[in-house]
Amino acid sequence: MIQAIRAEWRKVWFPKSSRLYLPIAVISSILTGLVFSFTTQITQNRALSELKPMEVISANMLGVDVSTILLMLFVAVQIGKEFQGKTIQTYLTATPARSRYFAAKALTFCLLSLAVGIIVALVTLFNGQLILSATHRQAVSASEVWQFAAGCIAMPPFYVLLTVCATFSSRNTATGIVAPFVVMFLPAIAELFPKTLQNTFIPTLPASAIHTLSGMAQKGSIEYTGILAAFIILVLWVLLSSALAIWNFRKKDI
Amino acid sequence: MIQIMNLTKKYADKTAVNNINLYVHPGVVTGFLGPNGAGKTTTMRIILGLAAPTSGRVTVDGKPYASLEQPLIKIGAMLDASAIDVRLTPRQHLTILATVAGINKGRVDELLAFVGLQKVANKKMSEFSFGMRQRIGIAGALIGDPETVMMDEPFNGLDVQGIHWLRTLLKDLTKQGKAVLVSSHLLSEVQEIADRIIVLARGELIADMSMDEMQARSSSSYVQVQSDNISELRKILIANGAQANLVEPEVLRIRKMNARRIGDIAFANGFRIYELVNHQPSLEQLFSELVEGKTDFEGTNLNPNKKELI
Repeated sequence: MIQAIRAEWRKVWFPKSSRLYLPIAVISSILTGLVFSFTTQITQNRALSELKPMEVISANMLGVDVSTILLMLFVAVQIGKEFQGKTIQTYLTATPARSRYFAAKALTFCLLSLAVGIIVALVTLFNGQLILSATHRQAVSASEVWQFAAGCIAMPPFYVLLTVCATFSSRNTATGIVAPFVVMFLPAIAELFPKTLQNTFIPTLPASAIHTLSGMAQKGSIEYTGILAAFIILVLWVLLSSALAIWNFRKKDI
Repeated sequence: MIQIMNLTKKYADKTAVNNINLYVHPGVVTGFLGPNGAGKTTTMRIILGLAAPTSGRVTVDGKPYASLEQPLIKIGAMLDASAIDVRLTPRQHLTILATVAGINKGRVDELLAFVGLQKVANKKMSEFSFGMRQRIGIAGALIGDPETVMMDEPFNGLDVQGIHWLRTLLKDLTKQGKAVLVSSHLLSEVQEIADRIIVLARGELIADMSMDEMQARSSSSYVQVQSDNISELRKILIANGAQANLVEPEVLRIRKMNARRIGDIAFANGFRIYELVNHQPSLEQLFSELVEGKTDFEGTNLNPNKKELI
């Protein structure tokens, strides 16, 4: 399995385009976080100085959302290319156990997105604190900030894993991108339904679990599930999607 | 070794492979022949676990390919030379395969030199011709120094020197005791190297035998004889079990009897022999005999009124 993961890592890192894309994704995510925090006058109709310290951090941390989206695109393209270019045939002759192949790929991209998520979250967090100190305001307490950062860091690996599952299931880049986006925006769709349905549906969504983990959803909010339940919800989403992807991948001829 | 038992593969609209049984022999080159759509590539894909059989079993050393711990050491395959990531260099491509198989990286350089791509080892494969990609595919198939080498149309795109090199390589592999299974439309190439022939047509196994056996059974192989008393000689040869046809006033074509026996009979009966020649059919003739009326895709003459275009 370790050999398979190593090979997957090499597949990611060998092409020049990947070596360019990933640093650019990190830098642009961080810059976008800064842009969000300096444009609150336009986006929220409030000047930066009017925002609460946590809101300044939060605006910067939107960079993690951007990195998640960029990673989703990257992963879907990488996997989709293997199916469309038939390179998967060559790779499957080397790793014919398809569950192992899927697991190696999923773990590789999960670790990659976790690393990118941590880098972007730490830098954006640092930027937020820097802005607060530059505007002579009190920094946010460590416990509050760390929970927020940890919750945000969960986002890239989670949505990247969904992208891996969707691309393996559909064997198609476009579907691999669209499916996790739909999951990401399910809360917005859920709002179209009656309140009773929302109460049942929204807490089971990944977005609610991530908001609970990051502390953005507080007790009493419709999204709040409790830390353990939030963690279980994310794990269940990943396990069910993986099961579906592996079943599909094993069932169909290449 | 590869063993195929009662293998059937059905798609919605056709049966690609119909209940075939095969064994790929070690130490010989087996030519895997058949017209387009005969089921050759499907069979190879099933062996490698890329396609699932509808029924039947394929095992490699008694196990399905997907259950092998070190698959690249058992089978090295090249099915599609274009199935490579063209953003990579040959060295990177082979390094990935070596990493999966846990093979020393020294093998990558060794193979790059072996397939003659050392000079372009660090160039992107997007710039490569089909022949160069074939060489990469061949290197990939050999990376694990496998017991069985399986190649689908490996001669396609290779230049004359490349064809000669591959021919020698495949023969050398069999000298090391490896099994080689090669599918090709270039029958003259297969004839040069194959010790055994497997022929599929419309998913059915038409022949699985040695080249010698195949030639002996062919209606195209005969011994041509000229003698001073051809009619008498004909009678005697027929009485001894031969099938003899008079094609010219003094020329006989004998089947079901070899030249040595014909010579002995003629000598024993006091006939003068002026010609005693073995005619062996080419693989193309043998193949045509075997698959006659069993092709799915047959072209027609553009101008049916003209018998010949030139």
